[in-house]
Amino acid sequence: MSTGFSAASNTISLGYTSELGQAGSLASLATTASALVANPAFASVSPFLSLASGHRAVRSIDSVTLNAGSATGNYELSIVKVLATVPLHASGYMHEREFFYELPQAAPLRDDPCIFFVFCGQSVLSNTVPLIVDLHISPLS
Amino acid sequence: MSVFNDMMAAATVDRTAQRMHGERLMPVGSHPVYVPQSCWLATGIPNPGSLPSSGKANGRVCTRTTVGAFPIRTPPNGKKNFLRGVHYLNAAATGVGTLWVLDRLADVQLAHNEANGSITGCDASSKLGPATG
Repeated sequence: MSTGFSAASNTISLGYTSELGQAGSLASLATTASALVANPAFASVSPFLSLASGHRAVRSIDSVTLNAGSATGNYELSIVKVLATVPLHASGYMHEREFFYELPQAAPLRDDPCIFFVFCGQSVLSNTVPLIVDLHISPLS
Repeated sequence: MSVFNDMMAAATVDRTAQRMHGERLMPVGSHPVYVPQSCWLATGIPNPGSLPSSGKANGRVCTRTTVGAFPIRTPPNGKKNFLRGVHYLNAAATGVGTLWVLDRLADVQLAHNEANGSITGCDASSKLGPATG
């Protein structure tokens, strides 16, 4: 979400091209009425949209079709690659994923990555405290 | 041993290892439990992320120079950067949860009532790597 949604909901279809060049569509997605900035635009407990059977990645987002509704507000669609997940078992303590010890899980980065974060909390978050993240990056042969 | 040697050299000899510090104040508002929230637009370090102009014709490919991205250096010739570790603290008193670290390959901003049609510029085909396997 980039701006808040109005109280109504829309039904939208999205077309994409899979990693193998196959056409796919995300049909009849219902947007969440009154969704807040930074929250998912579509009802889901995951930040990711499900692809058609057999598709594993998205090469491009190709089309948008408004099927029904007249709600207002803006949302973003992003093609992302998951680099790591970090479970936070207790607040106020530093947690780490150290891939030196689990090297096969270390994600290769493209040469010009655009790294950002998504957080899913088990309780209501406050805007008065920061998430603090240190990324450690090493070039390997 | 080459991986170990590469790591040690990056840390001590050629200084190509990088540590990127980030902070994000979570977005203003009341957020439901178990609902994932993007930190892209939140204030902090680096600067809040930018958005492409609204509209299906304004898709873009995101890079390390996109406003909001970490300014990660390109790896030396013949090598590739790897995410070697993530250290993470949520100072919130009730901040237990999960953090996803993502590479934003491409994005587009759409209006809720966007007119039907093609989306252009929102293409990450050169960023996905081999599609086999």
